[in-house]
Amino acid sequence: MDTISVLKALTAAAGVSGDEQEIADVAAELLTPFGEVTRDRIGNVVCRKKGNGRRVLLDAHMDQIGLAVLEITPEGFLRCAPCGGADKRVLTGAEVTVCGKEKLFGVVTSTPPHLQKDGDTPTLPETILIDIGLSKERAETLVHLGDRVLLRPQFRILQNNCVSAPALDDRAGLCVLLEALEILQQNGCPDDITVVFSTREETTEGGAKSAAYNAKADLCIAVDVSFAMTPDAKPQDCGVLGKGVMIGFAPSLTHAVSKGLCAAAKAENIPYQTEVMGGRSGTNADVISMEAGGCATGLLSIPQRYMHTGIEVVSVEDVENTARLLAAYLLEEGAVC
Amino acid sequence: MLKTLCELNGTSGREEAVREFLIAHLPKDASYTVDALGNLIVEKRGANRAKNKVMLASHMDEVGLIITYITEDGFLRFACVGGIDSRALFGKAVKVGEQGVSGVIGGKAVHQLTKDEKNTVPEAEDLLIDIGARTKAEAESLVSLGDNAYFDSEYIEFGDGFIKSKAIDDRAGNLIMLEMLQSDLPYDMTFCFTVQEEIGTRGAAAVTDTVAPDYAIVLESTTASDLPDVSGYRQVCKTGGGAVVGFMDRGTVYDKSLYDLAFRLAKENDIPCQTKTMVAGGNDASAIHKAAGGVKTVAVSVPCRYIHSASCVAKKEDIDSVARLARVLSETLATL
Repeated sequence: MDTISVLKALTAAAGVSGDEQEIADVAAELLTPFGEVTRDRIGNVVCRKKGNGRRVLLDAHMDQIGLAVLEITPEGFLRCAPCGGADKRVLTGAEVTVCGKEKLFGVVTSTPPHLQKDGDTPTLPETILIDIGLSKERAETLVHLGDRVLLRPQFRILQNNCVSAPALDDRAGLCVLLEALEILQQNGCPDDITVVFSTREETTEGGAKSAAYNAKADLCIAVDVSFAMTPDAKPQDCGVLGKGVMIGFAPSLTHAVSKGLCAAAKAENIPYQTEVMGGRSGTNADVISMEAGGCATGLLSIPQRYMHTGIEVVSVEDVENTARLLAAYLLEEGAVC
Repeated sequence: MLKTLCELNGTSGREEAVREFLIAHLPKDASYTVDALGNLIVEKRGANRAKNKVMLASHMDEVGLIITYITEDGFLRFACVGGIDSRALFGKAVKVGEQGVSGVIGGKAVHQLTKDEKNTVPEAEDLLIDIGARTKAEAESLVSLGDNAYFDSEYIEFGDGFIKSKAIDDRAGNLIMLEMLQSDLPYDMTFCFTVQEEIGTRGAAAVTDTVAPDYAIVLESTTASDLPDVSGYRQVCKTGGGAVVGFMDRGTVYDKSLYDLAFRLAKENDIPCQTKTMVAGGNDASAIHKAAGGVKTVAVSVPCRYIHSASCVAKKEDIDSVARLARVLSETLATL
């Protein structure tokens, strides 16, 4: 599996929270070689590889942050609200894709600086308006209120095998699960594995909750992205890009699973970092661990810079090492809690 | 052709690529010189001798970034070349240096911001370009201080006749002049493709003394703010409203007789034309009208939304209106 091409294909597909159809189709296709692929009632893509060992649930979310259309203005612009935790700082002049009847190109508007008084510091807009270059009448034939808008997919390769694109949160996690499945398949894993590419993590975590209810697993590992250090951030809040998978330690996670993941990383010589959180993890792991009577749950995070922007950055090596660790942990006998 | 022109990189002082492209596309019957600053001066003979010397001007440079410092961990600090809105930097992708190294402008994640920081525009001086380098030495092997960075922004056509690109300001003006040069002209004409407009109309100041024209027509792009929530005069001008001819901006008080002439010719020739409803912006006219002992000057501009950002938006029909008005104006001024 070529990580860069998989990441490129996964980040090119649209899937703002609650409208994940397009990414679901792409993801389902990629899962087909590994088991029986189905869709559940909340839109999750579920792949089951039957086995006679433990019941294991592996989760990564396929939805992405974006916007939803609230109004078509008399001038034909789209007034939007955030759908998931959008970063307002990135919106001025941002290129977007409007998922209407067809995909439309748009630009987030900005009022020019001359409309501010001299000496005023520039401020972020109060509402989000999108310019699609159409009259209201034309816009109404193509766009419906509630339609989703995403930061326009653009995939770039930086130095040291780093890649940049919107929605790497959490398409990089999907890529990890696909690569882990490949390794597990090659090594004949006895576990009964359900992989879920979940919906709505960025809004309600409803996809993962439903999937965990259905799976009734003995063990779950969630794979998401987490903060990688940038020069303006606090080191204690961040991992380091390129220094390996971040193994989560938190009260909401199962300590033995976290320790087991560290032990597997050491045994296999896979680079890793620990990510310690004081309460919940802020990922699907939190809801999965409480579902259907509770489930031992661990969290693996891929270090990522610029989360929730159109230029999210991850290291390809970190993605590949996360997949290797996940597979190694499951293959190792006695990893059961 | 506009796509190609917009995709060329040339911040103020580094207009080489644009100039070389223009020179390569000049017709055989045009002669040119390049002055010490890099201005490209092109003379073209028309079917008839002009009574008055008419100069058309458009600037080759665009706003961009210049690399000022490389951090120990391989990030790049930069300054803005020209007036970039600091809101338009965070979260954008750039190409850096001669090799066009890919980079992105970012900072800590929205989740890690304080409430105040969430609503504050990051200042350019606090932002960094990330090219994925891990050390200063690695970054230095790819980028040198003084290299420029450009918005990595595709030329895209969208909506009803709109285009989105970087550098529409002022490659649209360059395109109109190049197309005039490539056509048959009724009168002799001088075309100046200027440098360093974005840092204070410096190229135009130098070139006007050289050309010493009787009349000058500046072809530009100007701020349009025809957006919802912006009403009346504050919109300045409108996309789809045709060529913009201002009577006054922050650099120039335009010759009233030329201003009136432009509107009269537009009306006679059915060319959509509008004025600016705010005294805002400025262009090469500010240097030209005061140079060479004084030059009667008019500016004809393409209305452009989100100017000076990675995503300038203009309407093709407006570029057409500017081109048509530039042609009739230049011909009329040649024989006035």
